[in-house]
Amino acid sequence: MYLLNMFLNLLSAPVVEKGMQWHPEKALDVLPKAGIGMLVIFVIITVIILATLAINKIFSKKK
Amino acid sequence: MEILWENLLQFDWKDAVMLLIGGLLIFLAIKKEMEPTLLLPMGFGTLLVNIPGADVIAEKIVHLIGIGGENIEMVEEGGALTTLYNAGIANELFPLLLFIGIGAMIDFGPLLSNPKLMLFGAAAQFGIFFTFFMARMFFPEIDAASIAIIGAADGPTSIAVANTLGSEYVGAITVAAYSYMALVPIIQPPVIKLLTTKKERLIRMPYEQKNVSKLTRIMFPIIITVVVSAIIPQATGLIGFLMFGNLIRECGVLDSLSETAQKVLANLITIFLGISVAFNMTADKFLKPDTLLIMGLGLVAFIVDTAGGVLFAKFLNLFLKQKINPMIGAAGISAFPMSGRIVHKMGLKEDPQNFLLMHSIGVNVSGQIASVIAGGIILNFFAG
Repeated sequence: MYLLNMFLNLLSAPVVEKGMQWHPEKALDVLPKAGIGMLVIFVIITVIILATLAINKIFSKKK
Repeated sequence: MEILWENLLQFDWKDAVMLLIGGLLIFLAIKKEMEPTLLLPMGFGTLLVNIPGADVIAEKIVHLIGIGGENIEMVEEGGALTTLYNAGIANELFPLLLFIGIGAMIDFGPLLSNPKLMLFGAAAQFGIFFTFFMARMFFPEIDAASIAIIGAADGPTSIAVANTLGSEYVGAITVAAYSYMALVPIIQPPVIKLLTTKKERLIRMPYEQKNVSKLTRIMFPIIITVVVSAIIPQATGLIGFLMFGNLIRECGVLDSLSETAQKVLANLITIFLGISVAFNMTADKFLKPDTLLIMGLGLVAFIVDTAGGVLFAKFLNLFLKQKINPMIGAAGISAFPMSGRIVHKMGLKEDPQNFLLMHSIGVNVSGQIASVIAGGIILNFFAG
């Protein structure tokens, strides 16, 4: 996190001098949400895969 | 005569630029066949809304007399496009209705034969969250989330999410989403080649045709709807309408409805959606440096999506005995069926006997599901 912060500060330095709106520190604030979002997708997809494998097994047997 | 002259004088350079942009969208739709079903109505709508004083989005000033006898002036929005926008886009209705048609078009058979392919659909949503992180450097959180959803590579999801979040950049986001979807054949191959070796691209993946029972095909949309909606209630509309369309297709007793949903409904809604999205393509909303930035971030989203899918496949290959061709990971973005076909063609180019189509299409439809889930997650974080 420290390294990422330092990298973003380095990136922002020349731009801030030009007076553009650029807030790298705010990107760090949303990092946990982005991470959780990606994790939740994998969790839901895993649940769906398990459910699909289960219905595949149950209904193909019945057939 | 004087009034006609006055009307002409209302034009300024910004209106002229927007008319050119509308013309460009029409040109790209007709000449280059880039997503013509949406870009053409959108381009024409852009012409309509940028004519100063045009009655399609006109505002009327209504004079009312207050209780104390005072004069009150109220601005009342009027015009056909404003009405269409309020009736179908502001409340998400059109994107959701379009999902019924899309759901009816999708065959989940290849995915049901090998459900594990869905993992690639999840991995290829990485671009959304990476772009969210990048966009937050420049935009408020709500707009950053709306811009990130361009990475869903799915127009209706982008429109629905950006509108629900109330982003002021809906027009630019829609243009970026549909333009890059049309440019998938240009964007994806270099990224895939860059991240894979010749040896990896030559990996063959034999396809075992498994018999998927009708009951499985019927249960699949129902179970997905219940699972996803229970975990993310904000995704109920998106996933529910998509799976409803698929249930109509698979139930076997509603063939005429399925055909109507795939053709008439989808076409009708696409016309209304395209032309009413143009409501946001006015000079004051579109002609900003922000628009260029949004187009750039949209491209980043598509590239990172593709990279996410490919790199995830490479990661899995570290543990698998029977290797996966990492190119199929790229089909996890939901640009359906284009992305699946591109991967198949790339496989054939490397080895004319390497048929990846069924795998890549399976991954591609899983991308459709995963992108809707990603949209729901974004809404869960920020809506309301």
